[in-house]
Amino acid sequence: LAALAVLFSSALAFAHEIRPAYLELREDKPGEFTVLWKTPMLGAARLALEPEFSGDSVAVTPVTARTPPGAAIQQWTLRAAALRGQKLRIRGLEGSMTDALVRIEFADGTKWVQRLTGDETEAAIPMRQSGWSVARVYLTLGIDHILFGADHVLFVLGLLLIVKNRWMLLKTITAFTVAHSITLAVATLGYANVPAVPLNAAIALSILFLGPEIVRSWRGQTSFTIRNPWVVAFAFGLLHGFGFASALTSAGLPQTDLPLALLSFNVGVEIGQLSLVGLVLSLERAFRVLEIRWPRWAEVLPGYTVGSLGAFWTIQRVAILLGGAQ
Amino acid sequence: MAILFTSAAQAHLVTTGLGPVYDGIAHFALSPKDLIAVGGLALLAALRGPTHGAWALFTVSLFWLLGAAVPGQALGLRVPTVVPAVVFLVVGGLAAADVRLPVSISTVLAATVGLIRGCSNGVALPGDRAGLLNLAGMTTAVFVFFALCIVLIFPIRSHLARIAVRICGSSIAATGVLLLGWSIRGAGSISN
Repeated sequence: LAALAVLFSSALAFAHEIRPAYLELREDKPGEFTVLWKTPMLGAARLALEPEFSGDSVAVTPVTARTPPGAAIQQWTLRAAALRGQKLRIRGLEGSMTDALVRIEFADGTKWVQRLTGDETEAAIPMRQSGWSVARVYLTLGIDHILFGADHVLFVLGLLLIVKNRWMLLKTITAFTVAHSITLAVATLGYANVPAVPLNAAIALSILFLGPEIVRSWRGQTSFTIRNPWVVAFAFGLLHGFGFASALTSAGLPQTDLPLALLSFNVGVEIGQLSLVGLVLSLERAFRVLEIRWPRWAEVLPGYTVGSLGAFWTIQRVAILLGGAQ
Repeated sequence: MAILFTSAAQAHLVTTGLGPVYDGIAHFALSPKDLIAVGGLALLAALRGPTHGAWALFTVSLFWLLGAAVPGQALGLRVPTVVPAVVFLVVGGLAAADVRLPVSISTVLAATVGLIRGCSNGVALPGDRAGLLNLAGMTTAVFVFFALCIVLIFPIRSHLARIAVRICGSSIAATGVLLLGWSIRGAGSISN
């Protein structure tokens, strides 16, 4: 657990920008596409990302730009006789930690959805794309979002450190899953929205909250959280669900794509979460079977890592919140 | 010596599309030679007891990391075909014979296997940040796979289970004999 906590906390340095860039091309007339290019803002600056096609394509209208909160949106019309078969590359993605979701809707009703990352900055636009490969894009986004979202991982690790038995573990993980699924769906379908800055501060607070509870649990003391971790998992799970939703809602996907995107993304999040829980439990059992005796500092390390990172993120995010308010 | 250690790399890495950490995990998970070598060590450790298992768990992971980083990634040393065959033969043979090794010997064996397999994999790693993350993923996969094998094998203490573990060991040794035969027939060839 100590190794895992340190490993995941090291993800601080590599933390993903949770809001992906979003490129949408809609073929209004044969060979003519309306382009929507949405990039996240870092403070007052737009992320320096630009889409590029390998073949013939030319902008036939000037680029119009606007900057709603947290994003920059550019729109123009592109003429490309044969987009299928061309390679699309997002220039600047290789040097960033963000992803780009790409969606092209052709006049014949077919579409291509792809996720480009810092390690895979280009992709060929195929003649056809199956429904499964579209779902896979959102599925991997979901897995990636939880396994590289250090705050979500630490919260789940913190819960595992408090839970005492298998039945309580099942209840706690189920409560967290149900809660984050509810708010993920509510936010993605547009029924509720929480601004990113206070949400991130509240998520950090949920991790900080677990720190003292883990220490109490080691000392053999009890508290409401230690007796009923599933209640805490449910309550904070609602918050984390809004956090998961940011990966989908910030892109601004069209309504027609939402059911598949939501389902696949949520399945991805659950796969990631269950893999993490399974991994931690298996390792814990392996250490028990091998009768490994950890030094005291190694035993207390995960709890202090969870608490310290929770405190750090809380202070950092509250400072950003207060700075933004001023 | 020229045959034993060359600098040209033939090995390739798995690309999952999920980033270099996952690529490293997938590379290990899709390499039968790596899985069999680590699985064989786990069988041997399970037969000998928890102390052997604990030492082997940390030793094989640490030396895998060192082998991949220094002789593999940094120096580009390549392991001749005959070596993995010998590894299978020794590890599988010891498990099949249920030899009562002292902890020190089984730890040295785990270190040697880790070093050899790490070096074999390390030559394919790029020398940049992605290579380091790939290596981190691979080493984590070795640690986790060994631990999972122990979880599965160790609690089964019946006599029949012990025989089954020894049969698995003999299969690994037999694979080693086959590989040895192939590598001798194609003497001079280098593989990963």
